Amino acid sequence: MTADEIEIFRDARPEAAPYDPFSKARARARLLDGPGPAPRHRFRWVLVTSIATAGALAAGLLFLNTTEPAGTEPKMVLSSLQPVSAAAYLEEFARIVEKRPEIRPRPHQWLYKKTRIKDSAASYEHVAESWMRLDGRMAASPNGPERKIVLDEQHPRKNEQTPLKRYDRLRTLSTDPEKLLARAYKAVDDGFAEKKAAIEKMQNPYRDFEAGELKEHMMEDNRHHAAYHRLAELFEGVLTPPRLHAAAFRAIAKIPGVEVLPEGTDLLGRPVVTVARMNQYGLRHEYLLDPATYVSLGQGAVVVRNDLRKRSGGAALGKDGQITPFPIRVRPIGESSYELREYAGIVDEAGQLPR
Amino acid sequence: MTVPPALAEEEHDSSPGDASLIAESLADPERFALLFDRHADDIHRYVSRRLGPDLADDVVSDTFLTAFRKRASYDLSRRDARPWLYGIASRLIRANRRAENRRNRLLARTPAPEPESFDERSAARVTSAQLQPRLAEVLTALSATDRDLLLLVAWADLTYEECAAALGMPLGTVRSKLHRVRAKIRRAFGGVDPTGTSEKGTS
Repeated sequence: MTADEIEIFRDARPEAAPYDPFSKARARARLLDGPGPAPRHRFRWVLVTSIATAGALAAGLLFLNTTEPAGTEPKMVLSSLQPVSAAAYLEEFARIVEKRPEIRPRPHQWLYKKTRIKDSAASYEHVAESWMRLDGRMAASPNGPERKIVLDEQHPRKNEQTPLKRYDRLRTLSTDPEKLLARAYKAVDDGFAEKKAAIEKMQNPYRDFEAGELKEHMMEDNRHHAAYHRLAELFEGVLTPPRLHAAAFRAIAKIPGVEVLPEGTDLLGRPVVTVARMNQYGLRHEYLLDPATYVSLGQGAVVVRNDLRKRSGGAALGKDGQITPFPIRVRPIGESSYELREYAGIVDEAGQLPR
Repeated sequence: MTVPPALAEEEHDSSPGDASLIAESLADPERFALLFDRHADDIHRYVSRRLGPDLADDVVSDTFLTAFRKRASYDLSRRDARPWLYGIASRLIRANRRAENRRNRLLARTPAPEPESFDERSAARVTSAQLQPRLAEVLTALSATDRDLLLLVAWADLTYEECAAALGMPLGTVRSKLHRVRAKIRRAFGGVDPTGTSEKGTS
């Protein structure tokens, strides 16, 4: 008697990889945060810090859930996870991102961006929408209620970074995270050196003040913070090659003080994953990512502490010939300024919207 | 208001059935997560077998998100949501057809492990492990629906009724399609019983 053909398939079925608990928890959490009724303001923060010293993961898993009525079943699966470092999250993002196919944009395509700027201190909100041709020679924006597309010739200078030139340059960068990290710090240090040289040449009364400002700026934590921004620029860009995007995630994980907030919503109510770092003045700079694709949804900064070092507010030359620093404004906690990317992508014609 | 039969049955059960959870989740969305807790492992196991571990995580997540979005249209007379979930997963797996074909081709090219001893080789029986590349070839040649049916039975252990519910086709159609799939498999092995247990085997 012949064996059943279906049984043969059953016996020969491939190994099923175990369901990684991290992915499982994330899928479950995404289900809860995903399409639901109007997003409630759930404060679920997993505040984990990865200290880039050998071994020790100073992971403090701080879990705040303020919406839990007493006696209900815990709904936030992350509380049952082992503390997960920012590095682990960033590695996960890198893994997803690097699988995307690389698509070389063409010079006559356009980069479209619609950005909403929300500044709480100035109570200011503004939407900026534009198309920029990748060769840098044309720009376009919608005008008036009919959104008539107005084209503008651009005249990029010879050395100017047009989008396509930037893309070509990015493609030459190493995708080795260690090298990328070293490059970021080098760029920061070179910048400091340049600034120092420029200050030394100054002949005006501001020179000493500027020298003091630079010294403040070159403090170690600020150095890390500047490197953090340089790497974040890479995954913030629309035209970043996927493997570089992944390498930037891996490199940024090695900077001390980088945090990942895997749950949350932005000011537009969108679910976001946040890569964040607080500077030495208590201002947290955040890069917001789409929870499914880890593509940038914007960035911003929010005051999380105002009891730390005070940042100088600049200075003015008084009538008496003295430099007087401006008084330092203590910023209230929660004050923020964000650039939220509503849409961004490559299209073939000005006036088109990305899919 | 009449309660759908599946829910009425559950008055005597100690744990709520899937239909109850889904019904409750219409008002209280977080109940849906309990459905995830029940079935995510199974769905993941199946998707992982078809698409490999890398894609499985995303597809499983999308499966439950899609199910959540469509929960209002769930047929509450069905106590077990597995077929519904497998149906959604199957559609998402189809969207990853290229990845699945690539994986099948890779499996087809992977040389089967050599039998360990002369005795095994001389035996008429061919082990399933050695069959795997050939089976992968067969899979690639099947239509999407036939593949779904075959693998829902063979890799997800669904019954024919459950397959019918998952893929939205009559039970009779499931039976006849699987009958034809069996014939195709036999032909792919040259009319020979692939396990070599038939007396007519000629390898």
